[in-house]
Amino acid sequence: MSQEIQDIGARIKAAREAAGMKQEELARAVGFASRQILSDLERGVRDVKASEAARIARLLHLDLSSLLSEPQAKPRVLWRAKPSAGAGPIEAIFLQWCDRQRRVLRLLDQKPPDQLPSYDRDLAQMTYADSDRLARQVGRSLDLGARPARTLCDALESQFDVTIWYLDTPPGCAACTRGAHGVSILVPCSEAPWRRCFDIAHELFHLLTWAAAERDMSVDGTSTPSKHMEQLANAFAASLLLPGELVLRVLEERSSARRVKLAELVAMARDFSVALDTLVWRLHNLGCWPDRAAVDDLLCNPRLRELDRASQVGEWSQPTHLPERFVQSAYAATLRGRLSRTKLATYLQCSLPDLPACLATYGIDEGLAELTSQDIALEFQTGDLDPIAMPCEQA
Amino acid sequence: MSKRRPHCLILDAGPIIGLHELGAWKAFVERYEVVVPQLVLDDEALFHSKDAATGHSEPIDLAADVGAGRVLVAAASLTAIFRVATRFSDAIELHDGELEALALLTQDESYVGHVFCSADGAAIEGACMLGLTDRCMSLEELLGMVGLGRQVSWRFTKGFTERHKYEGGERVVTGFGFAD
Repeated sequence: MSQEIQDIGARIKAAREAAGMKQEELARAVGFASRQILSDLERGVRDVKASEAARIARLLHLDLSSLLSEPQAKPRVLWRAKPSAGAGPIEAIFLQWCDRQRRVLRLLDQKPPDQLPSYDRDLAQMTYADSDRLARQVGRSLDLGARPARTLCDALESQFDVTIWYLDTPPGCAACTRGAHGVSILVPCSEAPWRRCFDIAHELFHLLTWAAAERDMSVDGTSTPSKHMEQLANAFAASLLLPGELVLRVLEERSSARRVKLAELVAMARDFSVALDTLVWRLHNLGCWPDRAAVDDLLCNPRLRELDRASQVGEWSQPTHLPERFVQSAYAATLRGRLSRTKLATYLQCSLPDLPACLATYGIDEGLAELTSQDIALEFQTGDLDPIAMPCEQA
Repeated sequence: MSKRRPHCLILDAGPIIGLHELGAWKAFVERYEVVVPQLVLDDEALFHSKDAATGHSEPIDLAADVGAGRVLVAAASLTAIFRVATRFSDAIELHDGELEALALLTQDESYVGHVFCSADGAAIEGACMLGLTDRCMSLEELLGMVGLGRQVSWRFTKGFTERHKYEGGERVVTGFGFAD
């Protein structure tokens, strides 16, 4: 057999093992008559139909094109809470999207950007005060304004090139990855908007401290951060979304003689787009209610819970399925003749006839493509700007 | 099939959907020997024709046409598709079905005389890069050749195909998109 089939066979084997599937299991799912066919394929002693290979790729949550090209090192994924069942496939789907993003950017002669700063220090020695300082620093550099949860996603995407994927994963199972494939956060789309914001802020901590976390976890051989790391990430997220001075000022405004009504507390949580529990614990940490038992009692208060539930009606907005920048980049690659339109439909998870409508949901009018294809190119010259001739300066 | 079907075609997903939307599919497969790549057929679940005016969708049942012998299915081997994919650099990405069509056209002796019909600019350019320029034809031309001529949307016109043949030719000259 040729070197080509040996290469592909090795890639299939590596992908199957990464997915934690046995040969027998995959062979049965593909529809092979026996496990031996897959075994022969993996050893590079047998060719199969392209359609069978495509089925294998689909079952392993890969694109056939990634089996046909040079293999990439499997990126590390950091899980907040690994799903108890089906973690392998969910991680594979997340990485498939990261890989698609990498491929699309490559079509545009770009590399996945990584503008995110790194905060490389010993996490075991890091304190909550350090975490709080880091959050203030990040909040300032991102210029998140008075309601950080409302601006965080856009700021991360536009300033740090972080890609946020909303996938159908169990609630609480957020994850992140950083490397040659870019910087990405996975957020369960089924969660409430305020949970999603907290997830993103929490994962941001792991991305900022990625190098240190990778070092620690390489020693442990785990993909789940330590309890201390998780606590630091939670403290960072709370500080980022609820800056201390600002929160205390708003609490003052909403209270009278140092007493705040439960409804005001709930309204404040909605105003800051955080979960009520997050706000209450943040106020506890800021010293408003030093007694931990009292906070536990407060959070169990049925009246408070009822008010919280009532306030959540109408607050649920679903994020767009795919990051807008991914869609824009994929469409740009199609316009430049580098990504086929059928492949674009695959990437956007829609059928060919539905592609124009799907693109329209991301603000893209495919009808313009016809017009731009007839476009003319204007020649222009570049030169040094003459400061004396600048009209604004003359004025 | 009693009618003579002199022209042999390999169809991509776009023209299959387009022909259904034009209501010309039945007449078309009677006049041409139509071959559909297996990977295009596997995506059939995603196929439906859409009425442009009403937006009403109709599922496309290619399996019935295949079962009745009105349409032929061709499958390329994994090695054949790998050989085509590795002719292109990282700067080009085609759909699996398009790669299979190109693998059949370039490596399978059964399809040396077949014409490739696609409404996808990148696929047409890819075909030209593999030396298949003369075997790419638009749906508009194919319909006209067998007396089914009608107005078609932009992607099915001769102008669209010719433009992308030109772009593909440019790539051959500049070397852009070819693997080292």
